[in-house]
Amino acid sequence: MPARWTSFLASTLTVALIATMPSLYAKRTTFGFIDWLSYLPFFIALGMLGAVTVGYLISQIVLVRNLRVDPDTSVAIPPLRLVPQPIGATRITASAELGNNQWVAYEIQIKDQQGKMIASAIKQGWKESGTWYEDGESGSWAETDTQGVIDFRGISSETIIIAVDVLDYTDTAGAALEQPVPIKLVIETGVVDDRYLWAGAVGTAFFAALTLISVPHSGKKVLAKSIPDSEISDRITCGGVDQLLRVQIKVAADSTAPDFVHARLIINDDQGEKLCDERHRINLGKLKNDNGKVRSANGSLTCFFVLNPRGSYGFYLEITPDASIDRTTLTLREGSRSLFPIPVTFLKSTSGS
Amino acid sequence: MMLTKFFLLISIILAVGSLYAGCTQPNALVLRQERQDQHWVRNGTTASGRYTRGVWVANSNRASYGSFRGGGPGAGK
Repeated sequence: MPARWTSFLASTLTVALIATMPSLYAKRTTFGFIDWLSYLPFFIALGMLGAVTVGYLISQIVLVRNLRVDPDTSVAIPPLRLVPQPIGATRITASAELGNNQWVAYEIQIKDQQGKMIASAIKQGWKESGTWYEDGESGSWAETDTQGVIDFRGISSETIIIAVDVLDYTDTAGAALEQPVPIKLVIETGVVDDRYLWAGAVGTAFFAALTLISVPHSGKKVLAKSIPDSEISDRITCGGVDQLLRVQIKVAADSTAPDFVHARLIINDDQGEKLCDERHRINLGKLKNDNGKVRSANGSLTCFFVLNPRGSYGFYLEITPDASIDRTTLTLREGSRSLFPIPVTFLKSTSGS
Repeated sequence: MMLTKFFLLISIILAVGSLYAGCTQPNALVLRQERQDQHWVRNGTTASGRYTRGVWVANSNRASYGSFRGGGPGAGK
């Protein structure tokens, strides 16, 4: 088994080599850099969706009444005693049942016990359908808008009379119709304004998404270098025991790009001692023309380090094979955070101390 | 981290504000109040009068129904 022996020998040598390096090298997956707070807006948004649902459930129906209202007459329902509710408003929903191609204008009226009007609102409802023709195509359409809703508050334990008055009832041609309009009245109390709750749900969902998107971009950008080549090297001051260094490598290749390239990342300490020499595979995603020919290719890789102690560190990045590489970008963010447990390489420089 | 806290703060303000507004119904019609600037109409159901010295006075154009025309895709073509 020569192959097996060779691999055993190689791994033993690697371990021995790392052990003799003037640094401590450890790679482990850690929860330590997760930004737990960034999940909170997501749960707030979820809570707002819950509030929308609860909002629809907490209103109490006081009365449901089916009326038949003749044109130009006002039909009242029996007096209703209302008490102020701790939250929300009182809602009157009127749904007119119209025949096809009919229009109606009706007024929802709120009167006090003496029959004196204290509020009124008009809804113009209609139900129409027909056929449309356009560019040789045709189809049918039907639209209806017959529901009137009025929310009111400022009630003080009183008896009110709710009435509906049909002001106008015609067909499409404008001819008055003389039959009664069936209108269903629903009176509810403790109604919350769902428009605000929906706005809150959408708004918090937007910021929840923004928070989650922002986490990979967190931290201070200590290096951002982009060159039309396959090699980048630079030296910066960074590190510290609790400073997560997010290393982002981006590769852009031309039409002759292979399926994958290798990125070799070397980190040296202030004495020039090699702390780490890693080789990563970067798969390239290919952009194709309409005719299926490869136009360009892109790939990226993110890896994490903790460098200790804080000091001057040299970074050397090399992409191989380099023939097709148009551009290489290296971005380092210090004090970064993550959303998930991440594999972190912990490096300790001992040559300086 | 700073950005996360900033977004979190905005989320909390949005949630508390919309819950408060939803429950207090600032845009409902307030009975017996002259100023109704806050009234936000639902389903196109517009108030057909206003309070003048505590008395509800119907709009003058209210009686002139008969000229009303419905909307819909066929209207105006």
